[in-house]
Amino acid sequence: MMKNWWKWICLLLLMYVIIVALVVPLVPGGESVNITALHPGLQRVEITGYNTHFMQEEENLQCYVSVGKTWVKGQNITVLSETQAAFDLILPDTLPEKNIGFYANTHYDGTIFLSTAMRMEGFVFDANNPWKGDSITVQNEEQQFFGFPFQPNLFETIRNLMFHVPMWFTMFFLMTISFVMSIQAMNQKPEKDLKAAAAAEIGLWFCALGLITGSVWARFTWGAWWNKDPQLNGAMVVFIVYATYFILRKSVQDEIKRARLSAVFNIFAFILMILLLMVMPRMVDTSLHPGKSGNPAFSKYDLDSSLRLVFYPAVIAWGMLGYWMYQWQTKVNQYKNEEHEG
Amino acid sequence: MKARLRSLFFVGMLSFITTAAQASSWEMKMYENGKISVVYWVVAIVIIGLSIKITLLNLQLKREKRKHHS
Repeated sequence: MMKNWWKWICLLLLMYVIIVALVVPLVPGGESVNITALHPGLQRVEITGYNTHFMQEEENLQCYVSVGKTWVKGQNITVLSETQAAFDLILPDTLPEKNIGFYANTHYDGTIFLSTAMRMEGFVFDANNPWKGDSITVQNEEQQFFGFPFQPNLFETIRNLMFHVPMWFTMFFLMTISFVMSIQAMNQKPEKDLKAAAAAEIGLWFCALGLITGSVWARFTWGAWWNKDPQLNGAMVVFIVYATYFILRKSVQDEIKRARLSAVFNIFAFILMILLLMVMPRMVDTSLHPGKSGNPAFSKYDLDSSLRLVFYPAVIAWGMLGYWMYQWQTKVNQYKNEEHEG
Repeated sequence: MKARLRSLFFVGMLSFITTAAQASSWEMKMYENGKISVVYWVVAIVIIGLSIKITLLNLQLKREKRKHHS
């Protein structure tokens, strides 16, 4: 029991991650507006929120629109449901600029924001326009409950962060073990070759899961199962390279020769993995993945404190599970090797 | 044993082809309104994927242990 304390911690952390990742709600956010064009004068606008409580907070609901740095209050606000509200918007003929943002505010939900592309019909744009709009007293309130951040292009799928990303962290961890074992195998310790193979085998399994879960997530977020992205293509190349490692191992019968050849191949595969997954995506100008395109890692905009509470334990828990499986695989490899020798 | 595995393989292939034939409607349902179902799929893939590997490891280990002791 005491010997396996870390396995119990791993199981507890995994339970925590799965339950919290699925149960914690998303904070409220702006989903859509019912219009695609704005014109001068009176216009009825219907705003749709996500996870909002408009009916519960009907008394406090305020809707407003930003035109550049100027604010316009929504008049005659009507709550249609918990997530829908309509208001009258009156705009003048001349506006200072084209940037439009829609806001709704309640004490419970905080301030929700929606930025959407909008046709501007019949307006004259003049930066020196003296129009001051309305004075707004509410300034960016926080929601009054704990939740994961609302990202307009991700919605609930932001939870996938706790399942998809740790697969890659675990793969890196296991491939690093495999790399170290391969270096030791090169230094007259051929028995380490079995450990290198075990770590690479489990790492490859995590790589496959990362590719599959990433593809499912990409279909929702980016609209296709596979996208032209250096990170995605690099991950597939890494998968193929490590799969080739096992083909190489099967093709050599002599144990010593196999250990040496596999170790050399594994060292190059590891370097290639670092280049393809960590260096190349940061060198290109465009990447769909957050934290790439010149960014060193997750920025404060990609990962907020509520996500960190689950994401870091998730990385540790899946990593521990990977290490546990690696130990298991090592035992199997050792038994097989003894049988082969015997 | 081999016959059982073969029949299992054919049943699996048949299910796969049937599912693939329905793929367009399945895909529509999965991404309808773009909400929580994508997360359930991802969690299921991770848990089923790792469960398969753990089961395989367990079976391999049992077999190897038996061979080793006999």
